[in-house]
Amino acid sequence: MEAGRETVLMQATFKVYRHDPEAGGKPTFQPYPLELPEDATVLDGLFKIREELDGTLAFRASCNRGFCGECTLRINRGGRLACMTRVATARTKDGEVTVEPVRNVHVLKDLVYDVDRLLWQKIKAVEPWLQPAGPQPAREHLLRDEQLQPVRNAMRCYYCGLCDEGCSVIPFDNTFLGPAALTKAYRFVFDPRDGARAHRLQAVGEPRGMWDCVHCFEADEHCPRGIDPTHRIMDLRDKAVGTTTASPPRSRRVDGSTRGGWRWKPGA
Amino acid sequence: LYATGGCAATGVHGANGLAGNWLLEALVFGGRAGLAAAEQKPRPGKGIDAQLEDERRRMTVIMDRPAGPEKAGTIRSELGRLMRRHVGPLREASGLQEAATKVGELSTRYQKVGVTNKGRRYNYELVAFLELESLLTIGGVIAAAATFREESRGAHHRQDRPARDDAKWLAHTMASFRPGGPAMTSRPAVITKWRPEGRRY
Repeated sequence: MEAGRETVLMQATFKVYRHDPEAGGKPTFQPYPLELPEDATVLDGLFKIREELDGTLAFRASCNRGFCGECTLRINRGGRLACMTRVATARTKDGEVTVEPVRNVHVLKDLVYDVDRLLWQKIKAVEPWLQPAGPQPAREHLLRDEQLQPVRNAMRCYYCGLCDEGCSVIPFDNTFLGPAALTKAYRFVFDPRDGARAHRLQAVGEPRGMWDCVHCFEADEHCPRGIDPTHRIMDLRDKAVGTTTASPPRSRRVDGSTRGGWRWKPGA
Repeated sequence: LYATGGCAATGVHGANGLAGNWLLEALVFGGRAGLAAAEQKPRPGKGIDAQLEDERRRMTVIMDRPAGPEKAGTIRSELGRLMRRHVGPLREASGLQEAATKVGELSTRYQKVGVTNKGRRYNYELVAFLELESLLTIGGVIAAAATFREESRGAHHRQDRPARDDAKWLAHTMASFRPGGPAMTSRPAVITKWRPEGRRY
């Protein structure tokens, strides 16, 4: 707030999920009455709590610009980026804003959850780097813009995890690769420079991979970047049907298998 | 010492070293610095365990000291407002001088701040407290460097010195730590492929 600009204040009560698994006890929702500028975001409110009311509150945030995906939380029961959600629009008629971790996560403390389990292990499992065929080119591998068009939108993913938060399969089996990692796989399968397409399609075709998606389209509904992860999973399947002949669809809904596929690497 | 990003002054982004551009620089040169550091033989000195013990002792002192009535967050917001008002892209000598003085005052107030959260896991109050010390240090350096460079260049626009002065200021600004505040000197810039040009658009 710069000098000279009048600041209109509003009231809101944040009800914040508090839990320290190491200290034991049950999770509680702690109320914090706040006075905030009317254009404040939920993240502004959380910072105000930590800086002025309660230094013990743990939450993560980084860019404050809707770019890094670090402050993904459940705000009044919906998955949101706290920095992109205005308190004025999020609060209920009673002026309440409920803030809790997203679903399908392992809570470490308060609003901090294990992103490694939710996202990074799965994204690592799809080998998220370019694997060109043949020797390394001497210069940059230049492409015409239209050659990258299919993956350009998927490249905008910032790993907020909202698609996995909305996923209907993960609540039943949190080892399902999930829409975020499968969208990452899509990004390389459809990159004209990549030489590992068959290997990638084979890998995501294993149990807990793309065939476990039930195309409920929740991921498309949840994605704040319009990447439509459910459609990207369908693109992967189409590509697999068109190119791989060795590996028939292996969903556990088809063969009941729980073996094979990618696995947790605890502590990795 | 290996450094990357803005302080390394590689010049890759010229006067356009804003926000996200530095990410690219940090990735490329951070990777190179890491590889170079890994190749270098370690110099004899304090072992990692001893350094860790020093840090642990430093944290204990911070955690044990009594907290004054003032919170780190108040100082952080005041610093932010001060920097936005006087040390943005448009700046001039008197505002910069005021900013430097006020940063000094905030640093004095910072000495009386303590940490109320004594927890050892996910203690973001402690993190914010430690970050604030760096913010105050760097805030003071930015104000001093902007005062020192008596010309306008790139995103540094001195309203009292609107022209670019290649004769005197085609140079890097160097800040050295002194207990009383940063000491400023300059070092000539080495021009290789691209000669700086004026903005004519």
